[in-house]
Amino acid sequence: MTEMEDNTNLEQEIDRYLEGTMTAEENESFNERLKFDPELVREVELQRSIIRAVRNERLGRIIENEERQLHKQGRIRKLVISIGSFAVAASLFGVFYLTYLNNCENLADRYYVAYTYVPLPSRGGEIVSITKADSMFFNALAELERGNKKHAIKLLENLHHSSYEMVAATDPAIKWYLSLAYLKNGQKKNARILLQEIVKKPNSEFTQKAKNLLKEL
Amino acid sequence: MTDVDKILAIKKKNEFLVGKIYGLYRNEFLFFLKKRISINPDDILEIYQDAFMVLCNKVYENKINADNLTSSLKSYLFGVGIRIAYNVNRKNGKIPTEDIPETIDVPHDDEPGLGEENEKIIQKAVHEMGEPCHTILVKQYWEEKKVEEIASEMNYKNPDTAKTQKYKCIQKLKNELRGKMVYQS
Repeated sequence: MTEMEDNTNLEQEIDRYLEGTMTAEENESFNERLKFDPELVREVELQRSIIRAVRNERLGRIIENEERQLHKQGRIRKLVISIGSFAVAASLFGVFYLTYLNNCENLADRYYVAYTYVPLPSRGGEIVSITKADSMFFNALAELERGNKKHAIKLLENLHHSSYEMVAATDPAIKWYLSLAYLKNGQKKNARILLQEIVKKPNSEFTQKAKNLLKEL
Repeated sequence: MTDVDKILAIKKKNEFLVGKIYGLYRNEFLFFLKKRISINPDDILEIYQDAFMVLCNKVYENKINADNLTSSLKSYLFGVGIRIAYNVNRKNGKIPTEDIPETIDVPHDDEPGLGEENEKIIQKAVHEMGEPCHTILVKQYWEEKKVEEIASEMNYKNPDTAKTQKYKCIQKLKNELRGKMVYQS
């Protein structure tokens, strides 16, 4: 038997010993040899460590793979939690904003009274017809009543910032209805500025109303 | 999945299930060790991975099987983890002051082994082995293929050629290791 064959046989024997596939007698005999042969002990330990190293390398890959999966799952979980939190926050904000809008609209509705214009005859006795700007004003109020707040605001802002000739509409009236339109649209700050401007002119028919509304705001 | 199922999955080297078993106790162990033992947090995951490898090797070496399991697999795994953690602390000059929880069975290290340093040297040498030796060893010791199957899969003329090649690989590895390993008297 060559040295190579001897070594191969010993390795196979150690493999079988380590795998636990020896018969009881073989196992007993091998254990006896181990008691008196430190070189054999060292060979067994070395072979055991090599086998473990091969297994650990593969186990390491499995672990690495699983860690990657766990991190991926963790990232997905975090993303779901973030999206969920954002959705809850958005819903809460939405509910809050809708309640706020509803409150503003209810307040504006309580103060809203249709504008009445009684045409007065001029010195010559003839009725002075309303201007284009007056038409725009009444149109804006009609839009406001129909719920088209933004369109109403656009028309009233146009009137407010211009110096059109008007017969029916007055500056305090434009300010008052524009402030109500702002309020209906949730723009409290803009509404408050206009109401304060109305309050500064004490003789207007809207002065007291503006004071009361400001208090409620 | 019972403990016996888990042992069988490890034994059969079902890589998917082995991964899942690893993941099953991972977070609980990390939390458990952090709470029980004063240890560097960076070491905890590595300790768990080492403990899991020890457990798997015990199964492969038939030291843990369906018939001789005295405590739960989880308890065994955590016990090995605690032992490794104590060793890590001891190595870092920390004397363990914590009590071992009664529910955990800390297994004794029953093999003299070649020592941690040598194990690392062997691990590195196996990892750096060239071909076809690396594949032969993986097929032999991980996939547990017979020499006939290895010969057929790796296109050797006959099983004897594969056997000779394996012998040469092992001898080459052992010779290389003998020059690097540190033996204690």
